[in-house]
Amino acid sequence: MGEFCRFAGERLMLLIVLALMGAFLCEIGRMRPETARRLGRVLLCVWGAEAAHVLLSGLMYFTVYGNDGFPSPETMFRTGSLEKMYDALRTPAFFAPVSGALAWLGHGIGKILFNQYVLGGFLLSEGMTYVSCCLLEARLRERFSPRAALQGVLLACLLPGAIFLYLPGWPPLLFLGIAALLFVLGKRLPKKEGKALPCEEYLLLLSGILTAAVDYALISGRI
Amino acid sequence: MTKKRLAAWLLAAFTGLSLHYLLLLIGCLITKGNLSPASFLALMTERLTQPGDAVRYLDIAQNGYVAEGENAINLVFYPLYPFLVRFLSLGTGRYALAGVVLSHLCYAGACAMLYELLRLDGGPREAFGGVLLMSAWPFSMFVLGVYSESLFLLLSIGCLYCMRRDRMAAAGICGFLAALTRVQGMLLIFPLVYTAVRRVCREKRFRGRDMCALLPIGGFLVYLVINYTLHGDPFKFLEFEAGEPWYQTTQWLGKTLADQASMTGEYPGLAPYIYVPQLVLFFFSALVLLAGLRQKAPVEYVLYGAVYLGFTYLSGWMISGGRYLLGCVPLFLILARVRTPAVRYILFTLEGMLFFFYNLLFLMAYAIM
Repeated sequence: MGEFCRFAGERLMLLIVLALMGAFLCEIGRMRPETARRLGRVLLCVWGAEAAHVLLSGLMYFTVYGNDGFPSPETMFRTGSLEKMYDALRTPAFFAPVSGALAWLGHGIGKILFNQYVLGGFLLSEGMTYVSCCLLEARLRERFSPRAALQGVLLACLLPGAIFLYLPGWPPLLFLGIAALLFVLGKRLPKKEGKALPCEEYLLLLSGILTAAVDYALISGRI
Repeated sequence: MTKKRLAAWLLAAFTGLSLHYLLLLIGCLITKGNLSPASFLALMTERLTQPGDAVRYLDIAQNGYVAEGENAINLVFYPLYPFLVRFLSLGTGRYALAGVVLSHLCYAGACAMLYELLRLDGGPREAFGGVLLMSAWPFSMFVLGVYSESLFLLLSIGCLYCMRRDRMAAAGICGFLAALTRVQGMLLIFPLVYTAVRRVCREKRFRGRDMCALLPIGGFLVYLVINYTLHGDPFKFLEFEAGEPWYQTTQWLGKTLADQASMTGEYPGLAPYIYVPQLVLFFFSALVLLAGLRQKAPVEYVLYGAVYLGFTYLSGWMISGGRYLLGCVPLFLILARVRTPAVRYILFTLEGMLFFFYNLLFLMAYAIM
């Protein structure tokens, strides 16, 4: 329970800090309240999806490995490359250009947070995923509808393998690149009415099953 | 000031004090078996002037800070409260009585001030609701005893009130004095600076008196000077805090939350009144602050509340989280604005129940500190 309290408490405080920043910008007229609300909804979608991944993975880890209590994300998600990343966050080293640079950045963030280096890495990944989702939401809202935009964000964060968007490493940076590209090129897409896909519920169910399967494969060391 | 306003202040003060005296009477009946004046006075003496930090405040009031000996560690307690106790006890030498009287006066003032602050944004019902919420905080049993809580409440509420009335000099002075009362007092710099910066951004002009927003840091600097004068080290208090009997260090709040959760398992006897409340109160307070933003409470309130909450939970080996959060005034300011009848009903009823439970435990000498 301690690790879950830590995870939830840290995100809650960060949410308050970000909400205050948004409120300040609105008060001095640098941001419209509607924009702040939209950014808040995207943040809730991103963190809500992350909470779903972490809770599900924690439950699977707890059940499968008989862990003494809810495990921390660092304990649960420990593949070879992730282990290397965690070590690099604590003691930065250039083992790869992109991952190495991200490790240095995460280390720097962790230094500010009372030497919580791995947390710094997680927050960096979450930050990049959040910015990507904001770009995605903005373009989808413009081309389709506000509702379709939030659905698109949730879908992106809950697709099979989306767990890697929250873990330290290069996937969040790749997602940021793709989202930026879509944002720029998406202007050329014609506006259209967002229609539900046929068998939408079945596809969502399938996506959920595969997402859980990938998360399980990650925590059991199969990937 | 109208008679009506004065009557409202007196009523607010009476409301706050009477709730605590009601609990003292019930506690006297349960712990002493009777309501005789002697038993009541004995209970007040035992629980308001002797437990925990009270003894240390009285020692500082009587002997001041000392550079050597076992009482050198009293340096961790900020100077304003014991200084005022000493001042009030001049000529009588009755420090405990002076401390209790000072706390009573400050608490009455804090209730009246909170009423006035809430009246800036709402009606009398909302304002009295806020006074009730502060008075019935489950860990508010320290407000009448030899503790600095009442003085801190008076000064921090006064600071927020003056800030809202655009009296920056007065707000700065209250913040300065609050920072000399408890370490959290220096956090008042955040809402003050925020208010000043927002006004400058909107009006595009700077006023000299906006500099008073920085005064709370001045109070903290005075405390550092006291540390330096006595020990040659402005941060000597950190060393004392980290040692016996407090073992308090500064650590990441996530670790504090994880530690609190693990302590509930390691010390099941203490969990119901130390670790579980501290854990629950963190999440409750965070959600209240977010609700405050949603209900469009003044952003400076939420900012002060967030900084206060975060700072409080940076304490390693925390055992007084409930008492510390009594000083997080924005919680009462936001909760008083709740309008949904069902939520108000649940809030006040639940708080009353917890107020009774934890106060009773305190009066029965459980380790609530």
